[in-house]
Amino acid sequence: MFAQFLIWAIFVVGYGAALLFLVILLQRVRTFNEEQQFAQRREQLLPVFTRYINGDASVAELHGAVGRSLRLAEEIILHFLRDIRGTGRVLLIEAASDLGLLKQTLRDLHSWDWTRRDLAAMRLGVYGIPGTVRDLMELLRDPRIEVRYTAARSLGIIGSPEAVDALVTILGYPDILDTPRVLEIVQIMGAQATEPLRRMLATSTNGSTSDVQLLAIDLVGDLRDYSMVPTLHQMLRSTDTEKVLRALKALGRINAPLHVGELMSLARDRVWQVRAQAARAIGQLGLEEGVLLLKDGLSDQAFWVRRNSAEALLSFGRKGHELLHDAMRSSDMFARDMATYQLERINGNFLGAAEYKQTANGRGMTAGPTVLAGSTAG
Amino acid sequence: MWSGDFSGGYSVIVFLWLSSFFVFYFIVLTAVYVIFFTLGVANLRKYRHYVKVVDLEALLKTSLTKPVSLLVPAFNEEMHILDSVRALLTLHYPSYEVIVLNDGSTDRTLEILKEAFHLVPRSRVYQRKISTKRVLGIYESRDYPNLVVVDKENGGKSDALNVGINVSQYPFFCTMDADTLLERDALLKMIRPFIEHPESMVAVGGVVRVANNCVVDYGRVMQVDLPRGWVALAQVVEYLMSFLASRVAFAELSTVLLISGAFGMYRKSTVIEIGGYRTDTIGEDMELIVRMNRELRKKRQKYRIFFTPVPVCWTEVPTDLASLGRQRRRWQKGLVDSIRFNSEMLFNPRYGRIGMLGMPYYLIFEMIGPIVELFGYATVIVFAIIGVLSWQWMLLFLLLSMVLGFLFSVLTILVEEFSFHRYRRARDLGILLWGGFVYNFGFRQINAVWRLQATLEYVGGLRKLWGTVRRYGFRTAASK
Repeated sequence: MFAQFLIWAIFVVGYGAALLFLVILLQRVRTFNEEQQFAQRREQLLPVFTRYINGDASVAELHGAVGRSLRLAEEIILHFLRDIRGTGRVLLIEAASDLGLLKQTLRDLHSWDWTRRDLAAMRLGVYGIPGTVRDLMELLRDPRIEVRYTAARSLGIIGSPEAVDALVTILGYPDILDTPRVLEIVQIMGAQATEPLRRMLATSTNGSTSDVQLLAIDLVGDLRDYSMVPTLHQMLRSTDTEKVLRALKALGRINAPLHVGELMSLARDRVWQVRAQAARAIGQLGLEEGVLLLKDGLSDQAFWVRRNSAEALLSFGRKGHELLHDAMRSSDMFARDMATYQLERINGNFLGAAEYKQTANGRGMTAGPTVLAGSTAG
Repeated sequence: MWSGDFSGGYSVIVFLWLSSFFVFYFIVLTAVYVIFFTLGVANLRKYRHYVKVVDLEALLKTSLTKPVSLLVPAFNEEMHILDSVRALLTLHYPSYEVIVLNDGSTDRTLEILKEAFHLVPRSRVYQRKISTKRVLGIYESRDYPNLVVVDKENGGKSDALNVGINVSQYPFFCTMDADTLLERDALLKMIRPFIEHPESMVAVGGVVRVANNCVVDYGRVMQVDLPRGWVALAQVVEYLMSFLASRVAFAELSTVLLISGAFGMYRKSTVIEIGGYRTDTIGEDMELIVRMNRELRKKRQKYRIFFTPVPVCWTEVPTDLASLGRQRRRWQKGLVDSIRFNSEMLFNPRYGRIGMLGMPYYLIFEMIGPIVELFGYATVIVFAIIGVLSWQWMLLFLLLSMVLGFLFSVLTILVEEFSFHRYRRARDLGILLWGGFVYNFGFRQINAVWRLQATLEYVGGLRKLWGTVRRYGFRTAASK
C-alpha cells in the first residue's frame, strides 16, 4: 500500500513538473510572438509618428495606422515625449488624448494592481500635464511606497507650483516618503528646486538640524544655487558641527566667496572634519592667505586634514609646490609622505620645475620626488 | 514497505526510527523549498517591475549616488585580468575607483597590467585601519586616474580585500572576483538600496550568473548562451535556484546571511568597525555577513543587509569535476567556519530571525543536509540488501526524492522565464530542462559526497583548501 502511495506521489510530482514545463513553453511562445509582432508594428508606426510630429500627417491618418496597437502607440509616444519639446510635444499629447491613452492612464491610477498604478504614475510624469497634478497628489496616499515614490517623482518632473507645494508638504511626513527619496526628486527638479530647498532650510539656521535640512544643504551645493549663499554663510556660525561642515562644503562647491577670517578660524577648529573641509575650501577658492595654514595642515594629526591640505596646496601653483617640496624634507613623517604622494601625482610637472631643480641642486638636495614604497602614514 | 521479516527484530526497529527521521527531514526540507519559491515568486514580480520603471540616468546625476571603490583581488589571473579591468573602467557610474589587488601572483598578472595601463609606482598614503600582510608597491595608471594596482605579499583573498579596504578612498566598496564580468549598470542598481536607506543599509548582494559559453568581448557579455557540458549546465540551474528563489526569500525575511564574494557592495565604515575580513577562513564572504549580523545586533544598531536580483554579474564556473570538487569542498569548509565562529547565534532569540531561522537553516539544511541525504541513500540501500526493506520501496523512495528535486528545478526555470528571461532562444528551454535533470540525477549526489568529504576533513583538522580551478577563458565573438 505504501508502495502504491509512493507510485502515486511520483506520478503526481512528475505530472506537476510536466504541467509547469508546458506553462513555460506556452509563455515562451506567447512572448516570442508578441515580440515579433511588436517589432513589425513598430517598424510600421514609427515613420507615421515622425510624419505626424513634423505636421505631415493628420490625426486621422495616425488613428488609422495605430488601429488596435494602442500599447505600442503609447510606448512610441512616451519615447518621443522624453526628448521632444515645443509643438511636437503638444501634438503628441493631443494624439495620446485622441487615442484614449490619457483616459486609460487616469483609469489605471485606480487599478487594483499596484504595478499598473505605478506605471500610470510614471506615464503621467512623462506626459507632464499640469492638469494631472491632483491625480498624482492622490497617489501620495497609496499603500505601496513604490507608487508613492513614482507619483512624487512625476510631480517633480511636472514641476508646477502646485506640484512643488505638494512635494514640500510631504517632507513633513516621512511615513509617506522617506527623506532621501524626496531629496532625490527635488534634485531632479533642477532650477525649480530653489523654493522647496529654501523652505526646507527655513526652520532655523542656528538651532538643531534635522536630517532633512542637512541633506538639503548638500543639495544646495550640488545644484550650485547661488541665491542660497547668504543662508549658508549664516550656517557657518551654527553650534551644530554637522551643519557647519555641510554648509562649508556647499559653499566650496558653489565657489562662493568666503570671509577670510571666518575660514581661517574654521581651519583651526577642534573638530577634524571641519578643519579638513576648511582646507579643501581654501584650495577651491584659491585663498592665498590660507597657504600657510595648509602647510600646517600637512602635519595635522587627522589623516583627511593632511590629505586635503596637500591636495589644496597643489592648486596654488609654484608657491604651493615649493611648500610641498619643503615638506618632503621635513622631519615630520606624515607631512613628508603626503607631500611626496601629491607631487608624484603631477610627476614633477609643476610650475617652475626647471628653476626649482636648479635651486634644489644648488642646495645639494635631490631634485624631483622621492619614491617611497607603500608608505602608510596615518 | 519492509519485507515483513521480523527475524532481524533490532534492525527493523532501527530502520523504522531512521526512516521516520528521513521522511520527516524530507518533508521539512520540501516545505522550506516551497516557502522559498513562494516568497521568491511573489517578490520577483516586484523586481521585474522595478527593472521597467527605474530611471538609471537620474541615479547617474544625483549626488545621493555615492562614490564606490571596486576591490578586485587577483591571484594568477593573467588570462582574464586585462578584459576584466578594461570592462570595469567603462562602467556606467558617476564616480568610482578600481583597485586591483595582486596577491603575490606567480604569473604575469602584474606585468600585463603594468604594460596595458602604463602603471607608475606611487607613494600613495593610506590609513592602515586593518592589519594585513606587507604591501610591496602601489601603482597608479597614467591613462586611467581611477585605476590603482596594489602589489602585496600573498596572504589570500581575505587579506587582499583588507588591503583594498585600507587603500580605498570611498565610503563604499564592492568586492568582485578577477574573472567576474559586471554588467555596465550593475553598480547603479546596487547603490539604489543604499540611497533609499542611507543610514541603515550596510551590505547589498546581487545576482551571479554563469558565463560559460556566453559570447564575451572586452569584458562584456554580448550574447547569453548556455554551456553544453553537463557539469556547468547543472550549475546554471543551481545558481538560478539559489539566486532567484532562496536568496530573494532570505531578503524578504530579513535573514540574509550570505552575499557572494563575486559581487557584493558594503559600507566601508561598518566593515572596518567589525574588523574587516577574517583571514583564517576560506569562506570569508559568508563569515563577514554572519559576523556583521552578530556584531551589529549586539550593539543594538539599526541595520539592513539586502539582496536584490536586479544587478547582475557573470562568472566562469568550473567545467571539470576535479575543479568543481575543490570549489565545493572549499565552500563547505567556509560554511562550517562561519557557523562555528558565530555559533552563539544559533537558536538564540537575542539575534531575532537570524538566530532562530537563518542560522539554523544553514546548519540543518546546508551544512548537515548533504550528510543526511547521503546517509539516507545509504540506509535504504543497506536495509534493502539485508532484507529489512523491499527493493521496490527503496527504488520508489529514491525516485520520489529525485523527481521532487526535478520539480523544483522546473519551477526555477519557470521563475526565470517569467522574470528576467535571459535565455531567449527556443532550444534554451530544452537545455535548461536537461540541466534540471542532470542536477537532480547525479550532480546533487556528487556534490553531497564532496560536502561530506569536506566536513570530515574539517573535523579531521584540514580546514584550509583553496586549490586551483582550471579556467578555459571566455568565448569571444571571433571564436563563435
